[in-house]
Amino acid sequence: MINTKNNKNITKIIRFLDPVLMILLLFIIFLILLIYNLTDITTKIRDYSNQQSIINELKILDTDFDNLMSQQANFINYDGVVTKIDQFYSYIEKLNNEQVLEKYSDNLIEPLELLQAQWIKKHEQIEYFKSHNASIVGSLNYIIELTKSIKKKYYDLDKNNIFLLDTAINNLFKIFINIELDETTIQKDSNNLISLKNKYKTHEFDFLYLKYHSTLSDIIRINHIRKEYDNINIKFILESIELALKKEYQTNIDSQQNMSLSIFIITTILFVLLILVYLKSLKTKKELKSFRYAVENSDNSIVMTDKDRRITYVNEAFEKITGYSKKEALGKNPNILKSDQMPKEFYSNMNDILDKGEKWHGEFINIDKNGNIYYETASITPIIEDDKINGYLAIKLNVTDYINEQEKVEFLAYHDSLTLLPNRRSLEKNVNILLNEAKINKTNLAIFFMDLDGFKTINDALGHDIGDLLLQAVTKRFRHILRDTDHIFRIGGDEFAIAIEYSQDKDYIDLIANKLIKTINEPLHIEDHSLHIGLSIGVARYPQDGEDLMTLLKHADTAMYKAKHDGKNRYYYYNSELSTTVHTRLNIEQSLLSALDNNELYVVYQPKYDVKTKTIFSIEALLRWSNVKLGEIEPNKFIHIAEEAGLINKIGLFVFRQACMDFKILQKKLKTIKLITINVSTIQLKDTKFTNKLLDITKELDINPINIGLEITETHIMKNINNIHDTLFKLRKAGFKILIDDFGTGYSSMSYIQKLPIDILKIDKSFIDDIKLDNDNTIIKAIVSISKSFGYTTVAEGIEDKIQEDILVGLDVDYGQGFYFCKPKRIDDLMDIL
Amino acid sequence: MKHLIYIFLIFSLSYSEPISPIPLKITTDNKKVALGSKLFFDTILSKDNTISCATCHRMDMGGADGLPMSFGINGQIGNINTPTVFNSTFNFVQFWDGRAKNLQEQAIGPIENPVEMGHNIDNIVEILKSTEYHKLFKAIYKDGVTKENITDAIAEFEKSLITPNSPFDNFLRGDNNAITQNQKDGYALFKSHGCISCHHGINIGGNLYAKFGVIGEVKSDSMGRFSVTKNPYDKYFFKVPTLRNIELTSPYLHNGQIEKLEDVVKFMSHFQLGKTLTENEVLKITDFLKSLTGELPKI
Repeated sequence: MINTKNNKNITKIIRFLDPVLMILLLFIIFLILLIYNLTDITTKIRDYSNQQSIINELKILDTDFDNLMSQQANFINYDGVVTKIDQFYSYIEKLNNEQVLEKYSDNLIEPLELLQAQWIKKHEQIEYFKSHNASIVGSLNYIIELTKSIKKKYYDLDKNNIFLLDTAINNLFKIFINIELDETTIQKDSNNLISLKNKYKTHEFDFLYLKYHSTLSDIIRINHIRKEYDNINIKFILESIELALKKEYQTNIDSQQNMSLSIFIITTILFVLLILVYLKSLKTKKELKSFRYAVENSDNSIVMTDKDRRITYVNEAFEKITGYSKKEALGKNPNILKSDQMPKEFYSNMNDILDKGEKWHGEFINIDKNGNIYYETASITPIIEDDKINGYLAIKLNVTDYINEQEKVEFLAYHDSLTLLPNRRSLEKNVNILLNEAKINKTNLAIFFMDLDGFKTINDALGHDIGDLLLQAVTKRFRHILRDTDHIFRIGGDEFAIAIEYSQDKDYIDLIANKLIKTINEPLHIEDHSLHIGLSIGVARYPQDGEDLMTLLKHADTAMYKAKHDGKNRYYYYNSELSTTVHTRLNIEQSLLSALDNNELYVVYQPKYDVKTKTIFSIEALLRWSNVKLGEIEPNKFIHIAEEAGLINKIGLFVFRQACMDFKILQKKLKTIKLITINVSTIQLKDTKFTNKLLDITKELDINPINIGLEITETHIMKNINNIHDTLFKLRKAGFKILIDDFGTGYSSMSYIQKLPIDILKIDKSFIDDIKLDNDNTIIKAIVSISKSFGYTTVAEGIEDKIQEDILVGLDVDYGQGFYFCKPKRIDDLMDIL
Repeated sequence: MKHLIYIFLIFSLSYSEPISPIPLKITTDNKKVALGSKLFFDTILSKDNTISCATCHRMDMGGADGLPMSFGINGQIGNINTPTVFNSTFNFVQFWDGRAKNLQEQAIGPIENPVEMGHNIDNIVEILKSTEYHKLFKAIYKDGVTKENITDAIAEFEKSLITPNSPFDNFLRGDNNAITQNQKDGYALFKSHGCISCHHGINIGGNLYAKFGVIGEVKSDSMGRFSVTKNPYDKYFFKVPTLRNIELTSPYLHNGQIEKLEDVVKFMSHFQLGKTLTENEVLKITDFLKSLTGELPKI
């Protein structure tokens, strides 16, 4: 524990000793040192100059004193002298300033002490001089006056005495002007004056002697003083002090200047370092700025918080996405964005991970400032410094659009894109749920299967765009009728389903169904068209008509079939009979299996006749099916089912056989019948053994294949041309005649027509329907023309009135077939007519 | 002494006379002057509490006491005439023998002189500390009552005791009617006879030592400067006293042996100059000397 604490402290200190800080600190220290040094140098220079000036002053004063001492018995105002003496003392004291002396070596102490001592001596002499000089001011003058007055008064003084007097005075003057006189001379003079004084005994002589004596001693004294004074050489001391000072100062200053220079250099180096560091920091700053810019302008929403999860930074993207400005966000917890759509565990789990110092990645459902929901994927990283969490960094991406796309895809998976209604998938899913609800709540559920009547016609005639618009309009009308709680689905091209929950009785359903039919019957105005369509509805109810989804759907479908079959534009409830009686595919398929065995299949015949002579030329065998439950079922309803169920071969052969047998009977009655034609499916033709199978029958029944024609629909040929090509040729070789049925409606290719072994072309009914008096009937003409050029016989199908017949005669068609002449009849009925 | 230089310079420029007038005002520290004044008049400085500075240096007697020798504690008589305290700041040294170089040094003398105040300065420091002086000193001096501070205060007070505006000073300043013709004549004689050679300057004396009795022998108990330097040359050399307010400071000379001003003029001219002045000359010079009395300090 202690170790880690120490380590932490050490790391703290090391971090504190940040190099930049160190350099800065050093720089400051050295700068201070430099300044201190420079100030010190300045002070030293100043002190030195002060001392120099003091020494100069002392020199000047010394000279002044020298001048003073050279005064000869002049009056001197000693106030000035006193002042100068005091000055000299104060200068010396200044020189002896301890603070200054400290800076200099001990070399100066001796000379300064000497200076002091010598000066005191000099001062002494000056004082003496002052005293004695004052004494003799005017003395000499006075002595001369005295001498003059004595000579004047005592005129009878003999020359000798005068001479003595004069000599004494002269000698006095000599001494005064510093001419050396020896002791004996002076003594002699003195003695002479004493004798003169004694001789004359006047106070003048007394005074003269006294004055002479005192003046003499004063002069001698002054000479002595001067000598003593001259011995004291202060100037020399001053000069030596000056020199010593200079030398001291010089070395001192030099070393200090050197130090200053080196400090300056170091300071400059440190300064340069600082600049470099600063430049580096500028670079870092620039980098950070770039980062900051990147973060600021990133499309990702970036949030930084402190360790207490309070926001310290958000970028622009955040502001845009959340609607909160930076100011509003700062200091808040990111949970201000929390929507209630995520469970508590989600957040507690996230917090646990983050508290541990681990990264967390996940998706948020958040709300922005205005309360709008948005989705974010987020990656939150704890910011760790020195093993401690300092804060968190969250980088988030707004995935709302993506989620919306997902939702769209999800939507489209379960909805029809045109009408936006739920689709068949949805139906299966939702109806199961509804069934469960109905089960629990003990309510009823009705399933409507609806088919638009006549939609295909409109779609084909006016195009898919109109068809789409029609569907949308229809959807709108449905919705209008239905409640919000009713579910409507689009399950097919023009097929819809509704699931209605109800607890009332059947009348309610009747009401709805009627309403729906009525509303759909109203004309729909799509662009410039006014369209009329019908609605066929099949209704299956839970629980009466079924308890599971599949059953209900099937039964509703069956009921709708019935409605369609029975005339369309109506609604039928399911009843159990319907399952069996309605011509649903299933029903047909199931019945067909046993149809043949149950003799439900039978053949009717329709004659083809020469349009000009009106004589029957051939008959066509047509298959019919009469089922106990389903009733009469038309071939166009069950043939393709037979083909798909694989029953067509069997059925086809049955027809063939039956037709052959009946032909034989017919031929006996009507000799003009040369040909019997039987419809053949391309499936049959694909069978390679087909020709042989036919031949077996013809052999068995003893019929010549020449009298048998096989009718194949043009479109079917063209679709399967490659597969049946060989069979056709085989048949032809065997003698069978080949007829192309419904010619002109398919993809007739001239080259194929040419290549195929064709005998007769049957012009499609639609062209015959189009025959009008004022029409060119160009197509029929063309077909007749082609036939003739290829040597085919033409038969016009579906002649229903005389006009058509006459025109066809005019168009040079060979034969005709249709209700006008004769409807398809059973063999017995036909025999009767003939 | 700095102010002396200043004065000397100024007045030597404007006046070529050997005597300079006293400045009308002198810069002092008022607080120190007040404290010093209190001390000056306080007998607490003497051993038996009878003598203060003012006992001998009386404000009403020209700064002296009118006695040949002064009395000390226990009725003792001193050995030298009390010099005036007035204008004493202008003297180049203090005491007749110049043993004190300034007023502050001088102040100790009488305090510790057994025949004057007979005290011990260290004891006085202790005594004063226990009085209100402690507070008064503390108010001015950081270190309170000390030897230096006591003498400093006294000296500052003494410095303030100048007597400007004597008639002669005013005459020097340019007022020709400040003194009488007699006095002007007296001044001329003072100069011509050579009295001026010793009695000159701002204090009309007080700036050199001179031998007492140049011409002939004069009796003197005190040896003067000799007692300080022990130099035989210095025997009977005394500081030349100031002549300002001289008419107030009788008796005269260091031994106080001459009472009348006229008499001391005669004495001086005989023994210092070796001259005999006429009666007229003496009177004129005396008259001149009387013009040297200035405005006394108001205490």
